[in-house]
Amino acid sequence: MHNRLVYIVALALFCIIVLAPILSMFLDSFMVEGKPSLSNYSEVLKEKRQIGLLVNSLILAIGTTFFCLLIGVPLGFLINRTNIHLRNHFSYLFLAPLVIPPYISTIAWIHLLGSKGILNIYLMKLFSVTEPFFTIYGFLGSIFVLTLSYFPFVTLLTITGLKSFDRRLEEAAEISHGSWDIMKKITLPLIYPYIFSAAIFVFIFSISNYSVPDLLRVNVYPVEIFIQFSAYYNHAKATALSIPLILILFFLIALQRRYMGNKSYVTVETSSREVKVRDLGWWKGIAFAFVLLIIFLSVLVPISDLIFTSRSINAYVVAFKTAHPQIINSFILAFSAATVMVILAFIVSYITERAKKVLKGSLDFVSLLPFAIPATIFGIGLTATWNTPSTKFIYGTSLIIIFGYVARFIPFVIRTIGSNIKQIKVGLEEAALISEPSWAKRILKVVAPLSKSGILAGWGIAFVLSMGELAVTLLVTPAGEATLPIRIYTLMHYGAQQLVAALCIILVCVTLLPIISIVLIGRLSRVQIAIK
Amino acid sequence: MLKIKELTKKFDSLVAVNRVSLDCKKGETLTVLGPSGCGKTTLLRLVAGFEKPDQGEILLNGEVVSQPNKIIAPNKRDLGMIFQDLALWPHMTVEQNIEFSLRSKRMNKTERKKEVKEILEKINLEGFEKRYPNKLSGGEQQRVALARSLVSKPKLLLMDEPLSSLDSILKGELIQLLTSLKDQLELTMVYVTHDQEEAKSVADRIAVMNCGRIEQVGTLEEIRSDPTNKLVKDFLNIHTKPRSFRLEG
Ligand SMILES: Nc1ncnc2c1ncn2[C@@H]1O[C@H](COP(=O)(O)OP(=O)(O)O)[C@@H](O)[C@H]1O
Ligand SMILES: [Mg+2]
Repeated sequence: MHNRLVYIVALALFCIIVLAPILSMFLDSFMVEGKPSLSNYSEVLKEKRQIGLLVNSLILAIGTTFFCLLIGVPLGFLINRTNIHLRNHFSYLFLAPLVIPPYISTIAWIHLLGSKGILNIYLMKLFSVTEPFFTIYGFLGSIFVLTLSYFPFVTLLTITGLKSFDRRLEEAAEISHGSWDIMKKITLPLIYPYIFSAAIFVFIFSISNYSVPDLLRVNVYPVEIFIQFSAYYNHAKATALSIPLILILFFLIALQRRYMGNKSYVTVETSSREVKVRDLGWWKGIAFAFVLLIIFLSVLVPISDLIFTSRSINAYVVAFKTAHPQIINSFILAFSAATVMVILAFIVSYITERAKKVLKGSLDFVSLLPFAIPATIFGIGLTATWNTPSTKFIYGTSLIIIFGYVARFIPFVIRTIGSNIKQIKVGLEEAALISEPSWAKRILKVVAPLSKSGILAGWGIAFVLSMGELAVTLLVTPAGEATLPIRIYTLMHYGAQQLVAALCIILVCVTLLPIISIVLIGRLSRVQIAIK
Repeated sequence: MLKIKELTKKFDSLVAVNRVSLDCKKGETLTVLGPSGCGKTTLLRLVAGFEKPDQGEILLNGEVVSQPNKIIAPNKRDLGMIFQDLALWPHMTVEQNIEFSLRSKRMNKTERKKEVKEILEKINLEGFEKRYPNKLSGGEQQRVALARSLVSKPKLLLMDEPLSSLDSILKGELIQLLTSLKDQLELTMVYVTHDQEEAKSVADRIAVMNCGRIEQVGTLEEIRSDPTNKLVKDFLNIHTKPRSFRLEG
């Protein structure tokens, strides 16, 4: 009975934190002045703006997905299957862009390639022209920045896919075919579900990203929703506005579930055979240059630009002095949220794995729901749910921020931990039943240690994403409780370039701190984690 | 047809195949019999061309195909192989599995279809064309693997414990099928197994392998009448007859 109680508490918390905001924002959109009505929708649908927004959002998302695949898939192959220089280092370095939130690289690129960007000014002088050839503003720039932020997801899933099947399936084809045919007919089809999933995730992330199009002045759904909410305070209309977007996302998630089925997102390296590493021969130099260029553009350029912009150690001293409450606050909030997520996700995915078929399918789908809700909409939902007199202790305090982080990012953690638990056979647990009658101890002694890698990875992902979270926090943050990303975002508008740059660097460093510890403790590098 | 000379393969410090020399004549079935972990799979992978030898060489029809610094790709060797765990492609139907293994590119669609149909008939797999491997029983999967390895009409067939996962009745059926196919297609076979009954029932000659070395090669009668050491004796269950008579009496 003991375990029942834990299950119920966990599921209740999951529902309150994750599902309640989604539900209440939905219900709210059918209300006008306290009465049920469809007028929010009819109004929204009448507007011509809808089509423009939809087209813009699709261009941005499809463009980003296309380029992410173009970069991410070959990179996965190069790292996993070829003798590229520094192969061992690239196998974790490609993840580095994930610790730089997209708005931070956007800030750096604006500084370089904005209308008055230093690189543009230099180029204009060099060619004595008065207009820059290219600015980072607009679609191209947004797609560029988002691609450099999100391609690691594709690479990660490609590598996971490549590790997921037995090498002998390719060898069996070597008997009759050359390597090109094998790639086309065996390898690619086998990892297709992984690539497809990666594409869907990148699409979802880029269509619901708020900060990049906002900074680069592209009018897409999340930006428009934010304006509706913060300028007119019309959250019902904001929600109604986003319905086409949410429907698209729903459809994609269902599609992804269908294709990916029960496949695992984490593969623990099996002891059997190593993959056959292909000699790149003549291509080695070009491949190396390609990978270096990607790392250069996605990590080195933004980071060195920010370091260069912050100019002196003094900027960091000032940054610490003015923003240390936010730095500490961000760290504590992200740390707590990640811990809550790991505990909740562990229990929820344990129930999902061990549950009967029907419950299993629905839990699995529900746990993916937050993906379908753009962050700004989530912020609105949280407000609608918790901004009541009786729940001031949540809405008026940092708790609401933790709720926001958990609601937004728990799907990642559930995916990561879940695929780890999936690999623990029921038999192993039953074997423990013989000697250990207490359910709690069995979980702690058998299941938890066996899913250690998934738990560590899940925590790391949750922490990194929470540290960088902007869109939800922007909407729900209580007065005086700002986080570091908020501080950066507001300071930006005051043009405090030097300070902003220093804070960005601090944010990246603080994000890296626990990640490095995890890698050192858990030797994460031996386990490949994929996010679904 | 197949000639292996002084072949050695090391994995770091472990010598998986140790100075192995073997011959296999055209139309012959050679079984390599040995306990698990003795290097049988590694030997077959060397013959197929998946691994590069550290020493020695392999000749097919008089042509050198493997040397420490020269290796001819598996698809240029005109051989078929059945893998220990079959390695059927899960994303292809039975028909697609077999058709993809058809080597010749010069055939057109109808010719390919005809070849596939022919082999399906030979192996009693008609009606299974559109099924996926995970929807087949163990014995059916085994036969698909066999069809796949034979569709290109290779002259040499390598088999890595092809029947070890089947029950004894199915085993008997498949051994019969194999023997009839061997005569029809004039196959030369290298058949790897750890099961001495299986070895006895398919082999023309047996090579007993242990710890990477070949202990003895010969027909069953030759080995039985003159086993080189105790290990060979034990492994082939050879008892000295007078002794067992006396015990019974
Ligand atoms: N790729 C490899 N790397 C390292 N050791 C290997 C590899 N393949 C096989 N071995 C080792 O070589 C030995 C022989 O293996 P194998 O040929 O598979 O034996 P068998 O097929 O007779 O059971 C075993 O000890 C095995 O662990
Ligand atoms: Mg073997």
